[in-house]
Amino acid sequence: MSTQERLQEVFRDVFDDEEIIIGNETTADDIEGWDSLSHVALIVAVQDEFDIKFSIVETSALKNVGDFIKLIDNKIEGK
Amino acid sequence: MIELSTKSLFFACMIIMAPFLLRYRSRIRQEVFLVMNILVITVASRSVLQWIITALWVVLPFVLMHFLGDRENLKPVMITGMVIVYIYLAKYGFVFSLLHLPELFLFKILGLSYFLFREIDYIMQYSSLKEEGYSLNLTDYLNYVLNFYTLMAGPILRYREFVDDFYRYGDEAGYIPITKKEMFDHINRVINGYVKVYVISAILDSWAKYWFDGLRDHSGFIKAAAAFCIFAFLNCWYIYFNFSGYCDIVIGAAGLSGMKIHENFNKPYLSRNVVEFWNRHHITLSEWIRDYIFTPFYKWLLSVPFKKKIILSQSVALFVTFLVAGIWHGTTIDYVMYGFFQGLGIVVASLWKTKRKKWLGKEKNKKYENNMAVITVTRIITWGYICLTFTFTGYPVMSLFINR
Repeated sequence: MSTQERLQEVFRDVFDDEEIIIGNETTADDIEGWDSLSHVALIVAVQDEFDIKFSIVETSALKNVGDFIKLIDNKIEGK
Repeated sequence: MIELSTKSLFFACMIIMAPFLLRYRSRIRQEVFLVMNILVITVASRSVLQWIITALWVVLPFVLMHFLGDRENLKPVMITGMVIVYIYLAKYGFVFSLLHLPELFLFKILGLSYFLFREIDYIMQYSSLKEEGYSLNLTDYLNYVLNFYTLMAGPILRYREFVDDFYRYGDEAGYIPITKKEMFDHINRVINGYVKVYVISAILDSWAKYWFDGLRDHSGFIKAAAAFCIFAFLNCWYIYFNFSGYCDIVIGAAGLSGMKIHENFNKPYLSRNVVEFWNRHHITLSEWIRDYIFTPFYKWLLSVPFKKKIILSQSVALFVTFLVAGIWHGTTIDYVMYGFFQGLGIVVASLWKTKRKKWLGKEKNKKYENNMAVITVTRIITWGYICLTFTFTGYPVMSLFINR
């Protein structure tokens, strides 16, 4: 599975919605319930799924899902 | 927040003078600002001892980070130590009587808790700031922590945000550009702020006090409850006009000096639930507690005790965060109640949202949220709840129930 597909599964899990489809341009506005509270749950779930760790700065600078995928890939490579 | 005194006159003089000194883009703009900040702190100190304690409280974190900042395990120790010193300096009465602590200083340091917020931000961000190539020098640090505009009660800036903004125009000589319209907008905002604080909120405050003092004279529950509601109504508008007026003065005045300060209010009394309210009232505090209390605690809950139980972890983290934030607001039992009710309101609002989405489904939930009648009713309920819970700030409401 690609990073995007795995991330999509995490999104569906956290936001409890099996119809979520993410793309590089997806932002918090496109996904029902993606607010600052659920963002934290999302980050923790992503950390578990990919076995990586983020800092506060890294995750608050994200603009869209494309950024997020890039950050995850960088982290995995850097492991 | 602001009282009419020689100090507030001095503050008014500073905000008039500052633009003339700080709009000039010179190499020493940061030093000029530093001198002004130290001058304000000096005027605000009542004694030499107070000045020295303030200086230590501000400078020590910088010195420790400068020499030991690369040791990641130092941060929790430092922050714990700072919180303990803070509890002592802020004079939490029940802690003093519980532990029989001697009171060495009788004064309260102006802006103490806001210093703490900024210092913790600096400590937490230290490594990533260093990585990103920020200059972590004493002048910038002191300007950030002591910034006289935000000294009394925020808004709470972040180090990164402050430095980015301060050096936004580079160091070529000349004036920082400002259009006539911007200038008049800023001046207008400062004057509006002064009217809000010294006229509107002052009147509301005296009325609220009048109704609160009269509460014990009412015989009968209904009369007393009605009087309490009138008091709560006046008090919540007093808080809004006083605090948002203060922020208008600060943001407008700093704007005249070419500094941009984060907005702190966004029509909070139009919120439809308590979660939304805290995203629109004292925004910079909400964001700070989100980043430095809620997020780490929530992450820890999710990964250790409540593995993957999102809703439970979120509710516990929210409740504890707001309880702590409430206790931070003041040193009496009333603030514990204040934090308790804010936490309760937030947890109920977030649970209700999640449950409702499950019951109604996506489409119906959207319809529900956009229904004009629902919007109006939820706004009134939220505002009423905030009105009642805000009575705990500034008034000994608990004493009404205890010593009857």
